[in-house]
Amino acid sequence: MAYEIIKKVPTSDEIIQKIPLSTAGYASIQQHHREIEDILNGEDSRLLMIVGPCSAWPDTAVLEYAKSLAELSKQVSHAVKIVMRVYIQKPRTVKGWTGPINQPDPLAEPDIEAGIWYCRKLMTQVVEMGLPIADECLFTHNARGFQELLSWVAIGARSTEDQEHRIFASSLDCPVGMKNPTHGSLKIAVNSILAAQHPHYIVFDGYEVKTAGNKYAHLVLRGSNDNPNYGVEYIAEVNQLFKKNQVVNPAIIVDVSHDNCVIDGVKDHNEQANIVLRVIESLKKQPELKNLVKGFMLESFIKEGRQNAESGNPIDMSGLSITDPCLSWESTAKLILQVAKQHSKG
Amino acid sequence: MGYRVVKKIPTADEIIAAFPLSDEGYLSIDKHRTEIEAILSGKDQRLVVVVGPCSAWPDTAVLEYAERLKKLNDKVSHVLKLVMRVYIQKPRTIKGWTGPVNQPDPLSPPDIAAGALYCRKLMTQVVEMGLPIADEALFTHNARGFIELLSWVAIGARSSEDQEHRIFASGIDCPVGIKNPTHGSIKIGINGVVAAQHSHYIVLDGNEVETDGNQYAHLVLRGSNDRPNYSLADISEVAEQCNKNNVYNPAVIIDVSHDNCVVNGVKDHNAQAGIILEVVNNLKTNPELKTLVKGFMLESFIKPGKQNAETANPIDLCGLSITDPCLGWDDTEALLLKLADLHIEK
Repeated sequence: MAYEIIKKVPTSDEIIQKIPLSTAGYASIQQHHREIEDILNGEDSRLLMIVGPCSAWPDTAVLEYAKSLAELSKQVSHAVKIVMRVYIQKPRTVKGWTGPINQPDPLAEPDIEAGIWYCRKLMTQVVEMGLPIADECLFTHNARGFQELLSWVAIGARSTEDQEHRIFASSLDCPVGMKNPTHGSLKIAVNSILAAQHPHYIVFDGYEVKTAGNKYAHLVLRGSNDNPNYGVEYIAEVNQLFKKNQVVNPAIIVDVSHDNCVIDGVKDHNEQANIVLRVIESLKKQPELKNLVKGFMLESFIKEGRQNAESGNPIDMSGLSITDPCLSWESTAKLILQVAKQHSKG
Repeated sequence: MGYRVVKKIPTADEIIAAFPLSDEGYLSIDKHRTEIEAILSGKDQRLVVVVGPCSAWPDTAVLEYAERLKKLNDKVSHVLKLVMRVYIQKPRTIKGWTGPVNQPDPLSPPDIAAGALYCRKLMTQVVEMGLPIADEALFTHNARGFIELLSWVAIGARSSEDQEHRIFASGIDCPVGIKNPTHGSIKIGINGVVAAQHSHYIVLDGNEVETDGNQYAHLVLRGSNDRPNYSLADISEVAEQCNKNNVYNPAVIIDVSHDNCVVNGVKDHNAQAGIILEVVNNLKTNPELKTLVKGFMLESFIKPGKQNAETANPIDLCGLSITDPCLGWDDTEALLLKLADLHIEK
């Protein structure tokens, strides 16, 4: 292969030993898995809200955000199941910062070993606070040591049609949300779910394995390059495709960020709150479709908006996104409280 | 993880030791790669033609095909650089036979250890005959032992937007063709080329590596779900995108199979020959675009058409495809002789 080996990275056993998770932490992950599965299969009527920064950096601000979110989570837990985004790996349109897993200091050179320690430490800290965490499964070659900590996983829009990622999803222990591809085809997205729900033979970590098939693989609507796709007509189309293909535990999460909050070609992070409320409103008279929409994902951090980490300006370290723009903490808390109030009314 | 370990597979070193390649074989691969690079960079005026069965099964028929292709190669090698498809891994729309690397006997259960040995043996046999070989890089977790034998690699339409596959491509030693995605966006196809030409940091095989960047990454036009994309207008869009993005060694290979040979919703394998001649004819009056088109890919086997491995009784083992339908050998030979004549005339 045409690459230079920089160094051997720690094995997953070394990672787990160096920064272990408590027994209580492991038990909490099991409990979170079950609760999320119950929401997806309809046994639990709460809404799932997957919220948090676009990328998990810097760790101090991520932890501060987690503290506030853990508090809020308790207040709304009767109506809303909160999962925190702790996204350590980022896909790019072409190239750029690929997240703290590869480059824990965006202003320094990539250093994957340092990234591994940064990410494992941060993730275990958030889990120990009692919060379930979510990440995108992008780098399948560097997943162990992190994957076990997650209660919800996304397969991203750019990887959702890739067979290796679909099969990887079929082997995950926790519910996995397959995003629609960037061009928006719902048929291909549902194909992804079917593939992830099915068992497959593949090589992972030097072994021939038979995957279990992930019965809680579901759809994440994230808009497309052309237009948003949170309208009732799209949800109805998904419903038809689910029925036609006999998808098990049919479920949709609406991602109100990404291409769903693009207005005139620009992402409007503040629009996210309106979209959540608009979707809830539009489903009021559609009980069948309402039943299918199990929750929302939004990108939210302490401060609203974003900054460019590559410019020469001093970087704001107190919770301002360096990737996609985010909703502020105040707007996030207000939205979640409002959603909880509406949802508990039924 | 949600999987059952079936068994440990042989390491790449064990696979290589079981079926070693001769020194001449290694030298021939170096030479083939250099020649294909020279064609892609414009130093060599010949056309690259990537030709062979959709999937490399059964081995006896693949070797018989290779013998024929080798003889034909002796007649056309002054004008055409023939590269044989020895495709051991197959992506599927949802699920199904994923190629001999996972299931060397399509009628028996998957057996990846047996598949690794089947594929390594078959590939080395074809290389020792003096032919360069091509495959798709689909299963990046099971690439070593095979990828070293290739002189041309494809990143498939379903993986070309996936960051892990793009970065993998940036770390491959030989020219890599990035297919346009299934929905046809040439812009995303070119993003794939740009990403593959760039160097990246990633974890592969337990090491942090910095990939070299593949300066011979190029686009493969393979049609889209909606329509073929081998017209002058499509090629012209590729030229613009290559210019705009400062792509190195701008080059296009036209895959005349897949969605480029779909007529009224059905793949017509016999249309492949006509499409190549049409493209060659179209380019006569357009020297700039003609320079960009460095070759073709076609799916061809001994017998025309295809069979269904699960229902064929008995299964034809004499070179009839069990995946996509192929052009028969006689038509392939006639086409390549004609293409050689046309290309020499200019």
